[in-house]
Amino acid sequence: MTVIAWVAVAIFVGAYVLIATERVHRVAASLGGAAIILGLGVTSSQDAFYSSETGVDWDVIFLLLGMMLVVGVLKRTGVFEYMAIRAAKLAGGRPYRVMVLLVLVTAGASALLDNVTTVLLVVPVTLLVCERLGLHPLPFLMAEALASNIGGAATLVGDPPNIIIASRADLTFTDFLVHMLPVVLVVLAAFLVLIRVMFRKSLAKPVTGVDALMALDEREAIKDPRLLLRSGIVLGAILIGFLLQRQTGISPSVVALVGAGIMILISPARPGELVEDVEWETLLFFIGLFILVGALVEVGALEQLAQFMANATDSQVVPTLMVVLIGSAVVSAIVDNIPYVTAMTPVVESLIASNPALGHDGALWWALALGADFGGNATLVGASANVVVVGIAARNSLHISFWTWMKYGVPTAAMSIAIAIPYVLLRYA
Amino acid sequence: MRARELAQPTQLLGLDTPALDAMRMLAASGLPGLVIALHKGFVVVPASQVLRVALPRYVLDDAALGRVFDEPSADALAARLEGRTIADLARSLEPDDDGPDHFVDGDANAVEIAAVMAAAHVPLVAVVDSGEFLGIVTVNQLIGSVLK
Repeated sequence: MTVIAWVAVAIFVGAYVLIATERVHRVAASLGGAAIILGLGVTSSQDAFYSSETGVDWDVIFLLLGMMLVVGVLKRTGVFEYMAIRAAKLAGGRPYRVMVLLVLVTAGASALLDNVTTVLLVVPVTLLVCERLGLHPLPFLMAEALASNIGGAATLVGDPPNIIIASRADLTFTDFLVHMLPVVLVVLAAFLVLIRVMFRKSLAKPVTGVDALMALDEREAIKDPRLLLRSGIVLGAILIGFLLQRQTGISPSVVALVGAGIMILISPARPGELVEDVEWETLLFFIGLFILVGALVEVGALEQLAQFMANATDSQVVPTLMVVLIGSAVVSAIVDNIPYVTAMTPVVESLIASNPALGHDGALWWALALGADFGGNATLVGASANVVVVGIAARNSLHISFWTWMKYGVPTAAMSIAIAIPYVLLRYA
Repeated sequence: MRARELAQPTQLLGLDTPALDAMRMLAASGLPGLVIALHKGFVVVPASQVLRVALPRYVLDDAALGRVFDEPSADALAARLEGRTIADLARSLEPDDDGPDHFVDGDANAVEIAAVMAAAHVPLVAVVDSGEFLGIVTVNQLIGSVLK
């Protein structure tokens, strides 16, 4: 490798370490690294901002932006609070049934919304339900965070790594439904059994306030039924737009942006309020990462990594699929899966170029998505939803330690990967 | 008019004061807030924020949940304060060490008092001279004095 390539690698590794160790804010690390890359001339502004190969992936940025605006309107309708309370009441206040239904609501919502928004909406309702029933909420909160990461894996828009993979690999919303949804459903079913075992002691405790739960009026959560109806129609249209991507040729980012525009028009909230809800930090984080990774592609560093992996696995399908699936799960358990997937997508592209059989039916892409999405459940820092749930728990005087998380997260991630391995082998090898 | 001339006596609350007693005092006095003596200085808690400690945190996180409560549960709000103290209230408000003061000295004029109220978003300020608590000046009192 050239000196400039080593410089690019050093800057990327430095930024990655800062992100992983949280020594500085992740936005500062990613944008700071990008600034150094641009300042040193490792990559040009033309390559960083306009190249589809090595530049910022604006499809990803605008898809995220559009969906954040859509969610900003949807969450104001109160529909998630309604669904969660309704689910708990349908379960008759029985702890395991309540947990199952809340897990299903969370996983389902996570498939359509981002995981962090989902847990932010579902966790406060769960605290209310548990308080009413006299149940300790920790098992419920953890089950929901784990479920959000599982459910989010099912669709293109469910988890940021999927958005990145879809954009780089030119995969559609339907592709994700066809390839990811089946295995996610199996993992979810297994997870429902696993929570019964993992949380058996908490679930066996008698409940005290079924009447108090039943007295809650979930219909009151819906403040504006007209907005709910209208935003539901727009969300449905967005989903149809995603599903018809191949036929219409309209990319998900455009569909999401058009949907967001309509949502803003129909919402009684001021556009300024909705724009404030956008996670600008996340978007800036992505922009910095794309520039950092683009530089690695430009200097050929990721090509070298791909070559190393191709040599190690002899470019054979089964070993490569397993290395990417299991390796992604392990790495994603330790560090944020977004920078990992951003860096890995060029590597996967190169591996597929070295052996086209790896790209048959998108095989290697699905291995990457499954590993990165499911691996994040293992540790507290593995996925953003985990960190958010731990934060909300702390505000409610509930402490979830790193080790407590691993006690439940590692079995969940291990079970998910154990199911994903035969799925990948049987379907793609 | 100076703050010491406007100051009206009121009960100063300590961190160990039961939260229910503070609520009762607030209801009986009709004051727009409470003054709490801290180890260092004083903090004013607006009346609208006193109920905050009685609210479940999840309602603060998601106001829509406040609407789903049935009436008897909602009316039982005060019951949540049993066993709680003013220290819980101070903690729930997470006072900022670097934030503006909630007190003025006895020489403060109307503009100084108004500036403290505006900066700290409090409806009353404590009046303190050489560390001694003289009383409080409420926003209504202040407006009345400047309109004279």
